[in-house]
Amino acid sequence: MAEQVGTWLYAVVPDGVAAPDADGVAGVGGGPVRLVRHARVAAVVGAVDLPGDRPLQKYLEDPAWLEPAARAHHRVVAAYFRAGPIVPFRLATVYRDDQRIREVLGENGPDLEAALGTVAGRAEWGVQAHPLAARSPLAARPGPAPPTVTGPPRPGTEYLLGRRDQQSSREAARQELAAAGLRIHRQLAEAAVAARRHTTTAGRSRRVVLNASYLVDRGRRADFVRTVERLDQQHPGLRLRVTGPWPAYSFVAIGPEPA
Amino acid sequence: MRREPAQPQARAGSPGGALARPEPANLADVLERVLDKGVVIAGDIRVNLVDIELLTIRIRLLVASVDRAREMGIDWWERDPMLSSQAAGRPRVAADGGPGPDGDHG
Repeated sequence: MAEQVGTWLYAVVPDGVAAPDADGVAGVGGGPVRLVRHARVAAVVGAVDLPGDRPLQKYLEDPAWLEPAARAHHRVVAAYFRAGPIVPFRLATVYRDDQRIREVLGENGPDLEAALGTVAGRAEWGVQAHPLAARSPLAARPGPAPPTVTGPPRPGTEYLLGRRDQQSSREAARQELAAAGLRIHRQLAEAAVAARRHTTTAGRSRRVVLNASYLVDRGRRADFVRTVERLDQQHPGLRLRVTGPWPAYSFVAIGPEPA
Repeated sequence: MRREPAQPQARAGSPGGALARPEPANLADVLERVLDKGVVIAGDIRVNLVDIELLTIRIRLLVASVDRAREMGIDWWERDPMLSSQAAGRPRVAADGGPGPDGDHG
């Protein structure tokens, strides 16, 4: 079986960083991590073996591989996060060898240094809001009786009319929730240095009112959490969930914003 | 920079059983960040980012408990032929209880 070996790039940190928490931390696949220094920054890297002839894509599509890999990637990033500023890279950024890592650092040095400056002394906080099941206007309204015939739907006029009424009231409720989400987001953004709403997962679940990340100065952490608590109390029909502090995954865009 | 507590939710607590407090991150929180965020510079091994993002959504639903997912109104996975069999047999790949956001004691 062929083995593909590459250098996994976890993150970039300032050159000369001391990260005692990172001593002995296991990277993706269980191997050690180390630093590659170049252009006044240091890349946190580790060798990764991909046994067999499956391309990396196939590994990523395998939840049994992806879950420990994602946890290991985050574990390494988090260990350096506790020591100072860090610019995390997306999972599965893999190069042929250390020389390629140095080239990437050289090509992106100024951008990476700027990103390190942006996140220094700050952390990301995640906030999600969703309606409490019992109080949700969406949950309170039963839908029309489904067609009694199983298999492909064979809707009658009555079913369609009921469905239309239900859809318009659902639409009104949806707009109300969206407005609440926007209100909450704006107030949280005021307590933060930067804010970003996530679309990937929230866009697929019908009742996630808000899913966003906020970049918060370390000294304003308590203010931010208090703001979340206040907003939670002001919106009794919603549940707000806050997670953090995170490395600033959501605030380290390099180069042009993706479309 | 000081070390953050591993379980920041312990500091919470507002009257009336307020629900807003830092919670431990679950696998879905981690995946959302490591797959969708971070610096995107192409590596030497190319991967299809669109497929990975779709996978994030699917795994997010697998890692949340089924009850929690339904509470949040997420149930479309039950009709996803690729997932329904896995989801039925493996509802809790890793519900809350993974490493905290700062990765302590994963």
